[in-house]
Formats: sequence, C-alpha cells, structure tokens
Amino acid sequence: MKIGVYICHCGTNIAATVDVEAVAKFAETLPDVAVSRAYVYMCSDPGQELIKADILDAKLDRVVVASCSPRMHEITFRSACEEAGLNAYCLEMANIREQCSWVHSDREKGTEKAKELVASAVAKAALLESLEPMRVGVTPSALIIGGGIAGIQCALDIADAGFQVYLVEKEPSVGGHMAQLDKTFPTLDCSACVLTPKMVDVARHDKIELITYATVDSVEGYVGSFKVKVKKTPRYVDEDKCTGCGECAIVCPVKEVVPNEFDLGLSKRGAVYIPFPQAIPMVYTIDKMGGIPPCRLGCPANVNVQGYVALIAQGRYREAIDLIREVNPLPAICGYVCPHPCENECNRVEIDDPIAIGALKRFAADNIDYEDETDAETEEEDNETEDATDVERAEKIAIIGSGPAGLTAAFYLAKCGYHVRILEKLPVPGGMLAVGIPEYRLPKDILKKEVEYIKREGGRIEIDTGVEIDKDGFERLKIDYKAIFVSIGADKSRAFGIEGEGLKGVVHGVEFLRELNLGNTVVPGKKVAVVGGGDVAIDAARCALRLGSDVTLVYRRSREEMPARDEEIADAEAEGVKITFLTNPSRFIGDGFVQGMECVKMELGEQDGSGRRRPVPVAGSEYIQDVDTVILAVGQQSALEFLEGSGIELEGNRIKADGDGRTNIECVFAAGDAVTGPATVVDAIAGGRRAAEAIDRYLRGEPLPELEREEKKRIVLEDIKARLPELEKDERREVAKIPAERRRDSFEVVELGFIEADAIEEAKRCMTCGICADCRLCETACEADAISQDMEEEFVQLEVGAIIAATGYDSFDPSLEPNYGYEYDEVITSMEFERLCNASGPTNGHIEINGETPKEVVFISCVGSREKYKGQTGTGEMAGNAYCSRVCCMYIAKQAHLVREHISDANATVFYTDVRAFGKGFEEFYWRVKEEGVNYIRRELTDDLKVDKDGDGQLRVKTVSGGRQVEKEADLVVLATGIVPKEDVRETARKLKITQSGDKFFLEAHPKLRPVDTLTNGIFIAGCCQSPKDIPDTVAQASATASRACSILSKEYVEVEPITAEVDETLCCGCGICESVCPYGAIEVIETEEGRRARVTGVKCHGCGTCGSSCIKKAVKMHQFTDEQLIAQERAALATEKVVS
Amino acid sequence: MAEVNLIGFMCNWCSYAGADLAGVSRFHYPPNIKIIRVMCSGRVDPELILDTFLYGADGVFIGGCHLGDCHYLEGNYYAEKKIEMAKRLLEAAGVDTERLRLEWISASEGERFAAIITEFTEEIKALGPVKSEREELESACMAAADYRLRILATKERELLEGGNKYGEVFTMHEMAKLLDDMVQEVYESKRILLKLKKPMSVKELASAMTLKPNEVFRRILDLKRHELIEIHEIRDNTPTYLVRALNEGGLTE
Ligand code: FES
Repeated sequence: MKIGVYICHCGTNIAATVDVEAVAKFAETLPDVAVSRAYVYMCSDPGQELIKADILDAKLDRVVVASCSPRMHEITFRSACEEAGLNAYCLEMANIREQCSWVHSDREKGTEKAKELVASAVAKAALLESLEPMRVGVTPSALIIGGGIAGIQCALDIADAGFQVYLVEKEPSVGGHMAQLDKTFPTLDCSACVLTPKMVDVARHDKIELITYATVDSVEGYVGSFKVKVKKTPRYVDEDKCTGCGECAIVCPVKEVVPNEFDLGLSKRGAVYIPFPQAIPMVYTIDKMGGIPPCRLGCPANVNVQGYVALIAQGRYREAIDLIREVNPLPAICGYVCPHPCENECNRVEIDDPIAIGALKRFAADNIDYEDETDAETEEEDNETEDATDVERAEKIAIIGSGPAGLTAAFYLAKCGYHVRILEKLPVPGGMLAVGIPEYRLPKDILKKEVEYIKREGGRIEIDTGVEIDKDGFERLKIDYKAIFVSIGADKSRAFGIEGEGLKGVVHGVEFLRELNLGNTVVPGKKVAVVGGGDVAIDAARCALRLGSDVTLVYRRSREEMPARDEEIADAEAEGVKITFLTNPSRFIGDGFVQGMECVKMELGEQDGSGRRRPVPVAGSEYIQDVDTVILAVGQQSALEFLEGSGIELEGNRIKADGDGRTNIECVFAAGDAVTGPATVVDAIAGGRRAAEAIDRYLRGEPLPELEREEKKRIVLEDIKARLPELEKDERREVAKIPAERRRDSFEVVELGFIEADAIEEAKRCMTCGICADCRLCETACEADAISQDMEEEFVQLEVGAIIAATGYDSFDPSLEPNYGYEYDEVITSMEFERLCNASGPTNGHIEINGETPKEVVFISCVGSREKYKGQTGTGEMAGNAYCSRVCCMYIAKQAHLVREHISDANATVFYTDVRAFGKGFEEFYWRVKEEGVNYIRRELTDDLKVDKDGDGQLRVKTVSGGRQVEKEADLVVLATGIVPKEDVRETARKLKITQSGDKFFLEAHPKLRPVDTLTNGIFIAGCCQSPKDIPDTVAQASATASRACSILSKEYVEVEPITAEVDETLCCGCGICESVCPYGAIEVIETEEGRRARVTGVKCHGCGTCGSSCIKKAVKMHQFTDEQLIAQERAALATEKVVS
Repeated sequence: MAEVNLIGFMCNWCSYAGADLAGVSRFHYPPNIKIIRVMCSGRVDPELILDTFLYGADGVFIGGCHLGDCHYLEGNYYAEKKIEMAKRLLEAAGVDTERLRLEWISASEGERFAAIITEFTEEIKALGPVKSEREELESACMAAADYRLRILATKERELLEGGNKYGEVFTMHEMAKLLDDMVQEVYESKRILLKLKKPMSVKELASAMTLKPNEVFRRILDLKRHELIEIHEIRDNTPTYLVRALNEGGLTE
C-alpha cells in the first residue's frame, strides 16, 4: 500500500493558520505513506500534475488531499486520479480549510488539528476500495415547476434544444408576476407586450406540454430518471374543448364576488373566469369552494338556494324559478308559506342575519308571467330533458290526494312520460294548500296558477276532484294502474276526549278552515276559544278574528314549546289574538250549545318523549271561561280507512314507507303527511319527488340507488372567510306587512313582498358560499360541451431526466408592519400600483383611489427589506428580511415616472435610503426620473417612519431626514415591498429534496461556480426562487439553467456515484431489518440457495447507510463509508498526542 | 481547563455543509472537534460512537438535517433512536451522557453551527476527560454490537408507532423500561465476559462489579447456556469460570 499525501496552502487561506510544511512532514510518519508534499494550490493544474506524476512514478495506490471541503473539489481530484490511472474512489480528502484554517486562529492548534485530520484521512484511505460508477439512462425530458418568466424561458430554451418539456403551473394561467406588471424599468416597455408572445410560444411549442392549475405532488428517483406525480386541480372545464368564448361567464349568475387574485383583490371576478385577458391557456376555470352550502343542506327538497338567489341578484327571475323547479314544482307556494328551514342554516347568521330566502323566492315567483311559461322554458330544457319529456310511456299511475306531495309526484312523473291521474276527494285540487292554509297567507290565485302550471307543463296529468276512494276503489286502482301513489295528507282532526266535546259550537280546526276556504259560510260566535298551539290553531284563531270574533287561544305549555312559528304567533298577537299559556280545557259546558269552557292551569313537569316538559294540571286551579265557540286544533291524522284489508303496513296512524316512498307493497308508494304525520309543505314536496323517482325506477325495472348516506361536506363561515376576506355587516332587508288593524277584517295577504330594488340588494347579501352556485347554466350555454361539473382531482405521472424549480416569489406583506399604515385605502403596495396603472387593470389604467385621482404620491423604499439594519421603534421584531429586494429602487423610479405620466399635475416624492442603480441603463434612468421632477428625500435606514392619519383625516408620512423631522402629506402612499420566498417554499424544497439558504430561498450548489445547480443532482433552480432579481437577470439565469439541464438531457446516460450499500451474503441472516429501514426499497430479502439473504439493487440505493448502522450481523458494507473506514478514521483522529496548552 | 478531544459525525447534506458554511463565513469555534463526514446521520452506528469513546474521545457530536429535511427522508429519525441507545450504554459505562450530543443543523446555519460547537466544547471542557475504566467502555462497545440491542435501536420507532408482530403497541414508558432492562443485561454480560479472561468465581465477579451475587449468577447461567464461558475449576466447592473464546479482536460476540 502506497499512499500519497498532498497538503494545500490554498495561498494563505490555509497556510496562514496551518503550518502546512509541518503537516506534510508529519504525514510522512504515518503508516503506508510513500509521498507527502505541500503545494501552494493543489487544485491548480501544476498541483494536479504533481499528484498524477506521483501516481505514475511512485505507483501510488491511494491519494489523500488535505485542502478545502470535499464538497468543493472532490470531483477535481477524483478526475486527476483517474487521468493518471488510479480509480477515482481511491481518493480521500481532509477538510483543513473550511473546517480548520478558516474557523480557527491559533496557528499551533490549527496545525495540530490539521495533522489529526490528515492522519484520519490517511487511515481511511488505506481502507478505500476501487469502485466503478453506475450508469443510468437519461429520460430526455425536463420538468419545469413554475410558469413565470423564468419557467417560460427555461421551457422555451430546453424545448428549442429538442427535448420534451413539461411546464407545471399552479395558477390557471402561465405568466407569473411579470404578467401583472404594467411597464418594466428602465426601458418602460409594456410588460405584457414583451411577455405574451413568449406565453403564446410556450403554448404552441410542440415540445412543451403545459400543465396549468396543477402542482407537483411527489418526486422520486434520481438524476436522469425522475418519476414525478403531478396533481391537477379540477377546473371543471375541459381544457381541450374550451374555446375561451366566455359564454359560460355570461350566463353564470355568480358575478363580481371573488377578489380577483390577478388584480390583488382590487377587482372582483365571478365563479367562472379567466384570470386576465391574455391568459394562456385561454381556458375558463370554475371556482368551487368544495362542499355544499348550508342553505341547500337545510332544505328538505335540496333546492339549490345559492343558485336561485344569485339569479335573483342578477334580475333573472325566470331562470331562478326554473332552477327551483328542477326539484320543486311549487316555487310560488313555497315562497308564500314555506317556513324556510334554509334560513336557519345560512352562514350569514354568524355575521348579521340570514338572507331572506323565503321572501326572495316569493318575489321571483310573483315577478314572472306564469302564462308565458312555455317558450321561455323550451330553450333551457330542450337539450337536457329531451329524452325525458318527449318519451311517452304507456304505464298509467294513480295518485290519491292532490296536496303538495301528490302534485309534485305527478309533475315529475308526467315529465318522465307517464300518464298520471290524480284523485281528489275535495271539490278543488291542492289538498291542505287549498283548504288548510288561509287566504291571507296563501292567496287562492297563487295556488291556482301553480296547479295550472303543473298540469300544462306536465302535460299528461288529469285531476279528478270530488272522487273519494274507498276500499273497493283502491283495489280497482291496483288493477287499472301500474303504480299508485298515496298522498292523502293528514286532514282528520284528532278528538280531544273530554266532556262536552259533542256540544254544538265545538268544532275542529281543520274542518273550520276547510269550510272557510271552500267559500262556505262560516259564522263563529262572538267569544271564540281556540285550543292548541300548532299552525292550525294559529290559522284558525287568526281567521276567526278576521270574521269578527274575540279570540282566545288556549295552550297547555308555555310559549317556548309552542310548535307554531314565532313569526306567526307574533302576528296573531299583533292582530289581537289573546293567548293563555299553561292552560288546558277540562270540559265544555253547555246545554246543546257550548256556553263555557272549564280550564285548568298547568305547570311543566318532567321531560317527555319529545324532549319537551310534560304539562301537569295544577290541582284546584280550575276556572270557567265564557265561550260560544270552541275550535279544537290539537293534532291531525290521516283518514286511512280505505286501506283496511289492503295489506299495506301501517305505523300507528301513518303509512309505513321508506325514504323513497316505498311501502311494503311493490306497486304502492306513499309520501307526505300520510307517512310523516303533519309536516311542512316543503317536506311533502321532497317526499313527492323522491317517490316519483322511485316509481319511475320501479316501472322501468331499475334498482334504486342506495340513499346517499355519506355526509356531504358543509361549507362553513371559516371556509368563506379564507376566500372572501372582506365580509362586512349588511342588514337584512325585511318585507313590509299590512298594518295589524287592517288585517282584522280582511283576508288580504299580510306580507307585502319585496320591491325589486330591495330584492336585488337582499339577494346580493348572499355570500355565495359555494362560489360556483352549481346551477349548471354554463353546461347548457357551452356550445363546445366543455363544462364538466363533476370533474375530480387528477394525477399525472411524468418521467423526466432533469427538474427545474422556477417557483418564483411572494411580495412582502406590509400589514405585518403596522407603522406603514397599510390598513388605509390610500396606502397600497407597489404591485397594486402596477395594476392601477395597467389599462386592463381594475381602474382601466387610471390611478385612482376610491374614485379620486391623487395629487401627492409618496413612495417608500425597502419595505420589508434590509430590515436587520432598521431601527423601527415600537414594532418589536421586524417582520421583514435582512436582504435587499434588488428591485425596489428601480421600480420606484419607474412608478414615480408613471405617476407623472398618468397625472400631469401630480407630485411624486420618494423616501429612500440608497439608490442602487447598478444595471444596464439603470443609473441613466434614475437621473432621467429625477430630472423629471421626482422629489427624492433621503433618510437613514435606522430612522423611524410612520404613515398615518391625524385627526383631520389627512394621510401623512412622518420620518427623519438629515437629522430633522419631516412630514409629508400624501393622497396616495406606495409601499415598495420586497421579495420574499414563496409561501410553500419549504414544502417544495422537501419534495425536491433540495436545500434552502438562511433567507429561505433555494440554495445553489455553489454561490459563485454552480449558481443554478442544487446539491441534488439533476435538479436546478431559476429565477426569484433562488434569490431576488429583476427580469433581465431572471431571463439570463433561466437560460443558464436550461443549458445546465440540457447538459444532462443531451447524454444517453449519466454516471451516478457508486456510493451504495452491498450485503455480504455469507454474514447475512436474512432478518430483513435493513429492508425495513430503506426508504427507497433498494434492499430486498430474497430466497437464495443458502437461505434468505438481503440484496441491494444498486441504482435504487441512494447511499444513506442507515441499513449499515442497523444490520444486526454487520453484513452491510456501505461503500466509501464502511464500518472499518469510519472506525479507522475516528481512531486515527484521536491517536495523535495532544499539545496541552 | 483540560484540553479535550471531540469527534463530530456530520451528514453530508446539512451539518457538514453547515460546517463548511461556518468556514466560508469565518465563524470561529474551538479547534477541539474533528469532523468526520457521513452521508446521513442515520449511518452513525452506536458501536461507532462507543468505539470513539473507547479510543479516547471526550465528546462525540452527531449532526443531521432538521427532522423532515433528511436528504434520505427518514435517516435522522433512525439516528435519534440510535443515539438514544448509545446514551444508555454510555450511562451503563459510567460516562456522562452529555458527552454525546445530537443536533439538527442545516446547510444554511453556519453561524449556529459555530455557536453550538463552541458551546459543546465548553461543556465538555468543563466535564474534563472521560474517567471511566477502559473495560467499562469496552463492555459498552461490545454491547452496542450485540444483536439484541441493535434490533431494539432500529425497531424502536416501529414498536412505538406500529407495535410488534403481535400488534402490541408499546407505550413510551414500556419502551423505556424494556430498553433499560435490556441494556443492563447485555452490558453486564459483556463485562463478565471481559472479566473472565482470567478465571473468577461468582462472588469475585460480584464484588468486582458491585453487583449482587444472584444477579451475576443469572448472567453466568445465561452465558454458559450460550457456551460463551465454561467452568475453569472448582475451588473449595466454588466454581470459577473462564471465557471460552472472545471473537477476533475481542470485541464482538
Ligand atoms: S442526510 Fe442529513 S440527516 Fe440524513
């Protein structure tokens, strides 16, 4: 064994602290050392020649170079060895510069340490083995992450060199920050004008595949052969089909709601959008929050509330009603009577009040012409329901009962092509809608027009009124019809069961209302008592009142437990109904006619099954109330006698049916109050529609899809706040009611409904929780058939030989430093200023704030930059960065110039510390701007600066200049914010396994010599993700990066260091512990003739050595870092005698 | 203060690069530490650490990437457990565990690197040279090579997270107990082996090791069963034992 040792002076870098000659002398004494020399620059040509000559002449087997870090020159010396015929891996380096001479000052100790490091290296060298590098084939394609100007330039250069490029961009369009800029310094050319042609080139280049609205999910593999998983966010628009025509955006009802990211929130965009007019690809994107708005979840019929409210906000009432009708054919009725459970769910509750959804629905229904339905709808429906409406089906269906459930089922069944016959026992259709709800809540003509509509649009519906079905009748229906839907409601009063119930003058609420609604003469007495607390009780009381009676409502529990809606109770009271709580009649007294009602006071006891407290009579509290009419409204049931013997299973007084309306008999379906007991109109509608679907499927012999059980994600306020930060209080518009006095003798509708202006404003209060309202109007509008509302996240697998990170930067957020007053409207960032200047920006290129053109514009430099050296008082830790933004000096000059160009009589003032005009044409430009009259005021970095408004509301910038306090009034303050690493920079670094420097930007392999490489082979960096830079530097660097990547792509294979593990199978016991710790699956235990043995796949192994330190038999050899080598190294470093000072 | 010898094992991607950056930026620190490069902190074997102490180090420093930043994904998580094992063994050998330090230092933390090394050096200087007997360190070193402890050191993460092959998940507490017992058992056995280079009785061993005779006897039985020692002779009804064969170099079983 012959080892040659070479100690480098590195000029004085090493020699100043280490006695190089002494170290060389010392090395001669080490075992196996044949040659030991010191030389001034080992890495220089003559230095390398020295080694080569010795290898050849002295027949060296190993070489030790003591110089700089192996991370610097290992490759250099390896090649030198190789050139002289020695295996490259027979070299070992001792790091006596970075880890010795540069960090120590005591020459004696430095020399000692250098000796120890050399001894250590020599010990290892003696044990080094020759290794052959592995060759890996190169996939001739590159992945570029980030579609800003850096990524675009890289992509074009690499593609022009003939290699395939995948350009992945997170946003919907490429262009990055440069697309947002108005003009560029110092040439003042229009940023978009120079950028867009390049964007177009990228899109057109046949070697570039553009993957926008996508992120890199994971990266595996190594130089030459990376496997990349890209996650595509669903844009709900097929990029290949979309022509960018914008029809979708025209029909979309969600307009100007989301802060436009591209305009930094200075403008608003809709749910379907392109970020800016020159976007590439020119493809629309639909923005969905992900989840279901709570209003829709709250609606039993699953009506798309956000959708129709948005349409109402746009004044598109007919479309709003059509949208409702997709699941609910009675929008007008619901507008009048639905208790709108949706409103209780509305997310706006947490801010002020829910949207007046019910009133809006009524408004829309009131404002369209029901007669004129047909034409309006055809367009809409044609495409979609073509096959459904036009197919005539032979099966006939009977529906018993024409209440909301029956009408709904009939409508959707008819739309499916069935012939439907509705049998109604009353003389009018509508069930409870017709005879249960008083006129002052639901006018008869509303019901009429909606029934008419159903008949007309359904087309195949017959309504036979006055037909009562008995047992035989029901059996006949079973024969004549393929399916029967029972929706008879619950219109039979429950008996009260006390003495005197049979007296004349004691009537039942539902009957009282029915008679009244049918137009029969109903004359209640003067003193009416209504017993009960539900809707029927309130309705009966209010009707009796309107008929001139003095009405007292008697309810056995307290107000809290009352099932009627609070609003109705309040209205009743306002009109003059007296309510006696905690009271129950115990008997009715009279002689033929009722004359009195004995009541007993109640108190609330234990909770009962319904969770309410059970009322119990208070002994001895009886009293007698003087009455001449009693209306009993203590519950309803269904009249189910006709089902006796039919075999249909009942549940108490209800029909037993599942959520889809299926009873135990195949052809019989049921829904509505007859199944649920008395419930709301919208519940009945929901039941009717689900039953219609079940009937259709039954008749077509298709199975019903499982009821959707999985919980749908509800959109909550937090989600919205994250997307729409500017939520402000905005009071709910209430509808007017006719005065209570006027209501006493009139059945006029109590609520007046919205006037149009209020309705639209109210609808605009909707926070558009889902962003996209899911109304699907765009689907119909899109001629290219590009909309795909059900699109899901998609993963794309790519194989590439090289990866370039060009992920760009974020602007510093000035709200982190309150002294800059960013909360004021008149204080903006430089990026916002760019958008204000831009012709396609939010103000069409007029620099204005709240509609006003500023006359005094002040720029403040270095916001968030150079902060380590600032001394702001009162702000504590500085939120900004130590480094210089490198661009703010020059863009301030540009923007100051633009102020003067846009507003001829405006003054521009710049508070600056230094002007760094180092680039080509920069200094000249700076002087030009100064000569144009821009006022530059210098201040020290350490001087405080504050932007705020005094009592007079005037914005002022206060700081120190030349030792004197200065105050400058301003109409507009532009903060020249610095460049900070992208928010997700760390995540990206981890995915790519590249390193960050202290400032968090990506770290280059060497600041001078490998500025675009990273420490990970095959991964490169370009643009501001590496460090702040301006456009020319970015483009230059991007081209450099591209050429570095090409140097890999142009090879057939690359050499990978053979620093891999190897298993000595004679020692291996096959336990597999190594396999379990390998993160790359490079070791596998396999069956051999000798038994189970671990084996390493060389190219998969990355060389960490964790398997080596884990092996229980020490059978793993980690090449270049073997146990023996490390032990020798450590022992040798400790063996030299210490000089004790 | 005494001059001390320190060895650092630094991963190539973070700490070694951090050390280089300290150099490039001229952040000074005391010269006592000699840095040995490994590709990943996960490469560092407890046996290597113990051997370093055995051969005269007064402190050993392991530098890795910050958790989550390991160039090889998880190497530093394994390193953590291995260093823990090494500390237990150091403790068994009577070495202050402060002498072994693990730190996560990134490639950009040159200044921090210098600061931490300065601090570590000062600490070790205050402790002075290691005072343990060579035999104690040698026993610990042999214990580190023992397959039982190697399995535990590697599998600890898995046992804590996923449970053993019977699906029993270990709590931190159970794990600590298991490790303590195991380390003690293995360490004592190795020490007996070393002592039995010359014949000794249970009693003699017990007093030399300040252990209870019955504890020593248990270990003796165990070692005998594995045919690592044999009865040398029986003196006055008391057997003395002798090691059968120490493997090459006397280090590994
Ligand atoms: S590479 Fe640094 S700890 Fe694994």
